[in-house]
Amino acid sequence: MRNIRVPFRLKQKLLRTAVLTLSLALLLGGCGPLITAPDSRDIPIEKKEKKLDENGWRTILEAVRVSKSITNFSVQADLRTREQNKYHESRVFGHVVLPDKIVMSQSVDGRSYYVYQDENITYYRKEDVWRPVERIRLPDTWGSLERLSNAQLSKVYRQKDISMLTPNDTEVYEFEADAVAVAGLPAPQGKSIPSRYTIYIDKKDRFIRQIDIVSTSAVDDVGTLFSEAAIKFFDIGTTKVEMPAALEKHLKEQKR
Amino acid sequence: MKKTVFTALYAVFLVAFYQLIVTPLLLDLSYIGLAILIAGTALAFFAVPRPWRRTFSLLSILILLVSYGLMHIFADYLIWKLINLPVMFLLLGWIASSYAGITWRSTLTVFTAVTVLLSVVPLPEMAFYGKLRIEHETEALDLRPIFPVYPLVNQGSTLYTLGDFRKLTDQEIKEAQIDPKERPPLVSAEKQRQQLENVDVLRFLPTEGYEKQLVSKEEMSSLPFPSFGLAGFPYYASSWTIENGAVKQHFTQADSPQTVLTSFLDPLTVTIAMDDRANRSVDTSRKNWENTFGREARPQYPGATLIGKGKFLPDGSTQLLLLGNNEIRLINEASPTDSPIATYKGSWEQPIARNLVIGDIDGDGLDEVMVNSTPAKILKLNRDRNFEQIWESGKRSFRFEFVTKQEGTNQPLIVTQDPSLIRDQETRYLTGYTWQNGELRREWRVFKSSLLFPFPVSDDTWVSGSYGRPRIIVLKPMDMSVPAILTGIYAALVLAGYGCQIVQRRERRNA
Repeated sequence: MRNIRVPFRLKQKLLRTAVLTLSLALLLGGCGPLITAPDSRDIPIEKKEKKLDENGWRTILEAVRVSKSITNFSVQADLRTREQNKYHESRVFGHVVLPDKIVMSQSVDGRSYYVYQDENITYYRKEDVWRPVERIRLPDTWGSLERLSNAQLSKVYRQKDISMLTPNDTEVYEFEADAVAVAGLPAPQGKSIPSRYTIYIDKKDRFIRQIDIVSTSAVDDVGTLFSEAAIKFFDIGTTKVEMPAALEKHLKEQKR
Repeated sequence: MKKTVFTALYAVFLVAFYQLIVTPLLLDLSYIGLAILIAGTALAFFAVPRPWRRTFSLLSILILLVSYGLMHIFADYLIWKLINLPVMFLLLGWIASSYAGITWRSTLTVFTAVTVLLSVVPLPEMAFYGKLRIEHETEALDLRPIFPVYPLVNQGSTLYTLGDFRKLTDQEIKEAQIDPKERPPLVSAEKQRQQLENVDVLRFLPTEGYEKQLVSKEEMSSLPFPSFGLAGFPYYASSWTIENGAVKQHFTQADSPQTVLTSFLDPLTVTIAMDDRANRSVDTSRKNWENTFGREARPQYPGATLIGKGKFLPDGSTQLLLLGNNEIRLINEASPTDSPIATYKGSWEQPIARNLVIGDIDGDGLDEVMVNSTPAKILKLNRDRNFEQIWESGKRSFRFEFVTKQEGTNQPLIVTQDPSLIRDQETRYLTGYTWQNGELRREWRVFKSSLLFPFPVSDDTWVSGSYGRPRIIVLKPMDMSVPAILTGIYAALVLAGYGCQIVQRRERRNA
């Protein structure tokens, strides 16, 4: 320490001036480089390729017809609703054997539920407690898709094939329609729900693998209700409905 | 004594420098930031005269270890603080004295200096001081799954939100605990449901030191219906009761979970069912609001919502910006029933859902609309009265928050939350921009994420909610630029170090 004190004193004026000048320059100049927020000219937004398919509609209806034979399948689905900058989410994951067997976990805006129904019993888990409930009437998932033929469509687009189980094993079709008309429901006060449907069809067995629906509708005081659903079907023809271990344990405890 | 003071000051400087300069470099520039950091560290390392380099480096590592250790200890329970603090001091002090040649006195100095610094500015909040200071921070509010983000409403400088102010009795806590062996699970489940679905409405007032207060019926009825009426939207309908003069809000499921579940098995109606559920949620809440507060809450603009007022035309008149079904409508305030002055429709990829900001970004006296679609964009009304897109973000997670005046300049400040320069991810940081030559030029950035819808309550007071640990944070912008000062000190120290070494070499050569 001592050996540098003398030379430092000798040059301290010079150093002080340099330090002061630099500090002031940094302070006044803000010392930061000029940064701008990257815009879409810097980073172009990627767009999905799609082309008009004259046979698209026929292909979709054919897939609906083929899928009608499905009785047992697994489902993974979620529905995201956007309002303001907030997302609300509802999810399900489980197995179905039509017409009335189901085992499925569910979450609605962060709260979890679980349902089990076989030919004899129906149990629902809410707030971590299994309760017997009335039988749940399951919709005819594949039969209900036949309502698609009600839709008056002008254009069906085909996107690039995607890989779900094996490379490029799924065809993807897209069309826009009014959800109320597609579902064949009576329109309440002329309400329309513009929607975009994306149907994923297995190339080999022609089953419908997934349905995506994006809809916007008007709600008083909210403006736009933007709903985005993705319903994926898998283990088609092989899935089983088995009682969850937790319910089995609960029923055993009740018998005691 | 001098050495102790220097060590203490260096400890404070290094912790602040690390938090406000080093961490932002990495967060903003990723690997490039890391390269700059390595270069900066090397520059500082070689600026230290050779005999002190080892001690200086080890002292720096000790300071950073102490700061992180203390941050974790501060967040712990008192008993753990009492146990961990001496253990950490003894352990680090022993390692420092045995292997690094740092005296116990220096370690104690570092501990004391960093403890004092973190008591004044806790490490997790230090990032704010890149531009803002925390005027006040409320205690943690309840995080309830039924509203993933809680509503934060202001009327003037009074802030309102939801939370459970009522302390649970020991009996209630016992009942809420799920232990099937000791009590019937249904009782516990019912208690749990009640806790989830019933909350107090809270008020925070600056004149009351932002102390949590319960809201009276009169106060609540002076708020517009959408303020809290949409809190449970779209899965829950709200209702209100008055208990001991205070308002309590309740949430009831608009649809049973079973109905929500089965709607997935009829894929073509899943979004229709959602629309129906959402409408019922609003309608039921509206009726409940009217019944409780005796005020009519009919929608002012059926099928739409009012985003705000603005001046979009050069004639000085005021217009209203409405949002309908994925469409912005600009209407005249004086004649709202006339056909819209201009409209702008959102697309499937970029829907518009009440995520808009109105503000004059270029200071020309006319407002622009910032649309927080993905990616975000800025619209300006052109001479032909069409909304024209003048800017679109290159990042998908860019979000506009508000536009405010800046003191001493006519350039408005555009406050956003947007991600790192390199990566495009959901972690966003509060940033201030100005509009210059068709670009958003960054004025400052606070590397603090998890902020929830910040908004200004006055020119110099901003309020923000927070994800994770819900609370209300009151912020004030600082004129002083702490990062610039720290960078200046760093540059001065480095320069002084090299200066010293040059002088030393000359002396040695001359000798």
